[in-house]
Amino acid sequence: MRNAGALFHQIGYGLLSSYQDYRALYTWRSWLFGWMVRLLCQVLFFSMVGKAIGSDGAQHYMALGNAVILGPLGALGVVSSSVAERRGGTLQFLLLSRNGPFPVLLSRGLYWAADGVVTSCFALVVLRWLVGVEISPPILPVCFLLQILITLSGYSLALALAGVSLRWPESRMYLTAGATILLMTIAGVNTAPPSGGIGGAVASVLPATHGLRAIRSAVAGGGVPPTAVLAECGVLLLWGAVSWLTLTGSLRYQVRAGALNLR
Amino acid sequence: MAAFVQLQWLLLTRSPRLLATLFVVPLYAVVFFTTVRSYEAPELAGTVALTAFSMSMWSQAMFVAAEVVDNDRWDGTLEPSLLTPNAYVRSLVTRVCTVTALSVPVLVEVIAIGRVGFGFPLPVHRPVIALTATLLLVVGTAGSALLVSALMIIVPVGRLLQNALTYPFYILGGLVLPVTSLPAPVEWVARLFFLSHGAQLLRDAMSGADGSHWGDFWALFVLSAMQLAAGVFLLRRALSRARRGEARLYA
Repeated sequence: MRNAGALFHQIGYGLLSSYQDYRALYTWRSWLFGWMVRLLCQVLFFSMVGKAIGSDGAQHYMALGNAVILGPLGALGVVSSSVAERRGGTLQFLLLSRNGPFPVLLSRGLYWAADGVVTSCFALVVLRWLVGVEISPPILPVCFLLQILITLSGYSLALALAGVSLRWPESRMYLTAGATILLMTIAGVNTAPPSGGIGGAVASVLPATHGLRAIRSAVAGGGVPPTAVLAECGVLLLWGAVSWLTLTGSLRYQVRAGALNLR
Repeated sequence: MAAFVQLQWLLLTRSPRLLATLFVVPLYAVVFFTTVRSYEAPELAGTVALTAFSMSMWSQAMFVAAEVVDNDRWDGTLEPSLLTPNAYVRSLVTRVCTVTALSVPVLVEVIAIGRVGFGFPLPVHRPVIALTATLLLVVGTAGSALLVSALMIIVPVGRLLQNALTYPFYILGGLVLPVTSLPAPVEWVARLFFLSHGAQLLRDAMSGADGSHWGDFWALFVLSAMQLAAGVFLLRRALSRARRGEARLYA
């Protein structure tokens, strides 16, 4: 019981420091007029490819996909911020926490996921004016809930990659870029995800593939397919387990090698 | 000048991370080609190849070239360099242009991805126009990088700026849809942006479109030169502020 209390305590402080990091990153003006405008332009930019193809259907498909994917893509920020922990010399202190490094690192970077949820939900709301994708108001809260699920499963993938790049810091850029390209290509963002073969298998364990299918179905008025939601939860748990393995594994190695601090 | 190029080359080869953008951003070509193929719109393959190329050049300028000053600041070489401000500005301009010019081979890279990976023919019908437009684009883009590197000294939100200056400028540059498709006020702004003329010239060079290209060519030439001049001017001012102790050298 005392252990559980300590765990909550630890996660609480992790969230607090996460919030402070976030506040240091933006002011509300730079967030709204810098970051948010940039993300909306990203959605608009990719939907322009749909417009160039010459079909409203393609344009709307891409606009919705790119709005939703902002969540998982935003969560990927935790990869570089975790490596920055090692560069900044703060990682060794985080390791002192009594429940091991996983809960601390998980809560420390949670602002990336929170930002991903807020920005992608914002994008979903303004899609109507941006590209003309109508999401009826009663459906929006459902989309928000699904968006939280999708972003969290993106965050768990990001944590797994963070574990790898804590071990090999130079890999962080390639890992985030690789994940971005994979999500944009086969998770059903711009085109329907591949249904069979290796592509289909990879797509089925990627964050967003199933959740995005659920959102598309809800927006089209077809309700939320429970199988898609369950599958997305499965993906979240899968990457959560992998991230526990990579983070604890690579930190254990780092401690043994005496190479915690990069400075 | 050769010494400045050599210095930047040494810095780049010793820290391959700085070249990563050139391998990573062209991968957006894969996203675009997959999309174009699955919607059965092969006629757009040329346009999206050029989109991926322009995105790479712009990202290389924003995320690598614009950081030249910032890197010097962290390495502690900025202060001694400020002792000879004129030579330092010349060195920075040369180094930023060198880094930006490294993105030129990406054009070949994306065409190769399209041909080998996706079977799109992707011919370049007017190679001379394509080459000239690319070189002018390097000048304008390097000018933008100089401008951003100056802003990174003056304003505290420089990092955010780098990130925020990507997609809005891809739209203004007409990288996917020509600027004529933008709403009127945005179109006027886009026409004053060198990238929109460069992107149009590159598309025309690839498709072999008939008609005169001199209008776009002159606009690209003049606007790129102006962009470079503005970049040098602002960088000079930022550095002189740093010399007078009016800018934070350690953020």
